[in-house]
Amino acid sequence: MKIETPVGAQSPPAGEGTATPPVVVFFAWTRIG
Amino acid sequence: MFATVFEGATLLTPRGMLREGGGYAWFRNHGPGVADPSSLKDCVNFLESWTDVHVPSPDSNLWLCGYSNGAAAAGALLLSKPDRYRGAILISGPLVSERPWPVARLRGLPILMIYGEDDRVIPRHLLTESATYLAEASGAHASVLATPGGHDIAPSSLIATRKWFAKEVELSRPAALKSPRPWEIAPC
Repeated sequence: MKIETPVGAQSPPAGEGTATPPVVVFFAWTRIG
Repeated sequence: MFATVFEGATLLTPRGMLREGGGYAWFRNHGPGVADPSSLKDCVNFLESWTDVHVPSPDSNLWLCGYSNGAAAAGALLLSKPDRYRGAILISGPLVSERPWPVARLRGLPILMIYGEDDRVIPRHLLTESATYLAEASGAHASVLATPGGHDIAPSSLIATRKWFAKEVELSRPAALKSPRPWEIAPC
C-alpha cells in the first residue's frame, strides 16, 4: 500500500455538525520506496 | 484504495514522519505493538494540533481510520480526546496508550476494529486485549472483526469497512435529514 499525501495537502471546510459531510483522516503505515 | 470506501467523505491521508521498520511511522516502538511513550505523546500532540488546523470546527464530522502503526496512532487520539471524533476504524493495530485504559472513556463512540487471525506482526494478545477493551470496558459501540489473513488490509476488510462506515454515518445524521421532506411525500 502506498499513500503519500503530504501532511497538510488538503483542508476541508469547517464542519457544522453531523449534517456536514464526514471527514476521514486515514493514518497508514507506509512502506518506504 | 480508500477513496471508494468512505463514500461521500473528504479523505485526508497524511503520511507518518518517522522512518522506522522500512516505512514511515507515526511514533517509535520498543517492539511490535509496544509504543515508546515519549514518541507516542509527541505523535498525539502533533496530530491533535494538525487536526485543529485542518479540521478546525469542534462540531466537525470527523472520523479516524488507521492501519497498523497508524491504527495505534488513531487509537491513542481516541483515548486522548474522544469527544473530538464521531467514530473510528482500526485495522491491524492495537491500542498502545498507557494502561490501564480508562473505563467508559469511549462511551457510545462507534468503533470498528479489524485484525487478521493470522497476524504475524502484532502479538495476538495485544490485539485481543485491545478488542476486549473496546467491546467491553471502553463503553464504545464497538464491532470487532477477526478476518482470515495476516497483517494486511484484505479486500474483505475494505468491504466490511465500507458497509460499517455507511451505516454509522447514516445513523449519526440528524433525524430531520433522515425523514422525507414534506414535498417528497407523495399525496394520498
